Amino acid sequence: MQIGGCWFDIDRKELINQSKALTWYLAPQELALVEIMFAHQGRVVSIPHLIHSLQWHGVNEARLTVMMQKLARFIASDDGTLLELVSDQGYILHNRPMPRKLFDNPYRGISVRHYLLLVTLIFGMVIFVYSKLDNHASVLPKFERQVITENKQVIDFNVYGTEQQKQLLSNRLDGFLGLLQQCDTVNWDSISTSLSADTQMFNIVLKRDNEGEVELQNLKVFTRAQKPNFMSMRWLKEAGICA
Amino acid sequence: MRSRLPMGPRKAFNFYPLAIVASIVFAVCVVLNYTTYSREQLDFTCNAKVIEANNFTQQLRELSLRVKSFGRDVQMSYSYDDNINPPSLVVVNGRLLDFEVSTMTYNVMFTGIDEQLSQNIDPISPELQIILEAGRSALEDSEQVEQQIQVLDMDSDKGYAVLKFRRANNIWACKIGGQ
Repeated sequence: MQIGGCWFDIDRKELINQSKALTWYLAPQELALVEIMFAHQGRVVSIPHLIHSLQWHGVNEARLTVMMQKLARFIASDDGTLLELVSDQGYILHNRPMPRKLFDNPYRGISVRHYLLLVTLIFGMVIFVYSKLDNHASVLPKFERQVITENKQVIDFNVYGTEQQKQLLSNRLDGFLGLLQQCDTVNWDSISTSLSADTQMFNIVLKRDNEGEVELQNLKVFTRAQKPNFMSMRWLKEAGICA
Repeated sequence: MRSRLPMGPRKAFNFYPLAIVASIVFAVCVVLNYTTYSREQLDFTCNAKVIEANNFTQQLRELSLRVKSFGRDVQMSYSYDDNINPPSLVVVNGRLLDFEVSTMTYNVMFTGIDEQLSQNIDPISPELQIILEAGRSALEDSEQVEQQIQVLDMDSDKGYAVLKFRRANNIWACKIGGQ
């Protein structure tokens, strides 16, 4: 008997795939299964019926599934499928290969509509999360350094602003850092600076930890006088930065 | 309905549990995002000494800044005292647009100077003009000015924060809450 490109020799208990030149020597339970499917070719055979018919071979539902998978692989054709599982009903052995549809795929587990819905949902989530992300400036300072004074005191020194503003400050910063290193004692643990966008004001934020309490001080230095490098050791002492 | 499973029987994929879980996760993200935003309010008080670079021996001058939000409304108050003239007070009103968690930045749209609350601002002193974060010329023309206030450092337990006003690149060390 012919099944697609396969030949079933019931006398020799063989299933021969002529296109692949393979021969399957059927075990008793496999022979019984193929006989049943052949007898009902073109019609749905229910799973309970199959299990009942094969029960004396010791075939349960799990074993039946494995046998069906093996049979489906063996008789599979490039032209389509021969053995089909009908949901909640049973199996059907077609007379000839059933052509595959456009979205048909052996591994397809959900319908196209559900797939598109899921993709849309995930896409919406990605857009939502991405919209909350930003590429603005980091909180990190443009320039940071640890200054060690002559008394081995370590001061954190930070400059905030753009690269251009840092360049504008470069001379002043070098002077500032050099003076800090010469201080006997710096009254603060960290010094943060920035130059205002209009270059008219130099901001200094001083911070220190005093027995668990944080002390902060702001200095707003107007640099509208054209003196480029106003800092001196006297200036630092009068500002309360150096002792 | 026939399921095409030519390689053998397989349990059908159940779409709805996955869709429900994904929808719940999505809804939680939206709610958390809204909750985080609605709790972010501004309340900082900052004081500074004002120094002239070329003349340190001037009399003491003080500048104070108070930034506070009331729901979506934001008010920024600058107080300047040179110990000679009556203190000036400039109150600028605005609206909190959003808070970017990733950069710790408040986006505020300032709408103008509150003439009724401000004091001795006719004219605004040069020092205060320079210091005004929100853009003096725009505010004098009563235009809207967008400002970003970035939190560089913060410790809620110790009650302090260091802020950067990105438009003018001025930094302030502030206490959290009122004085």
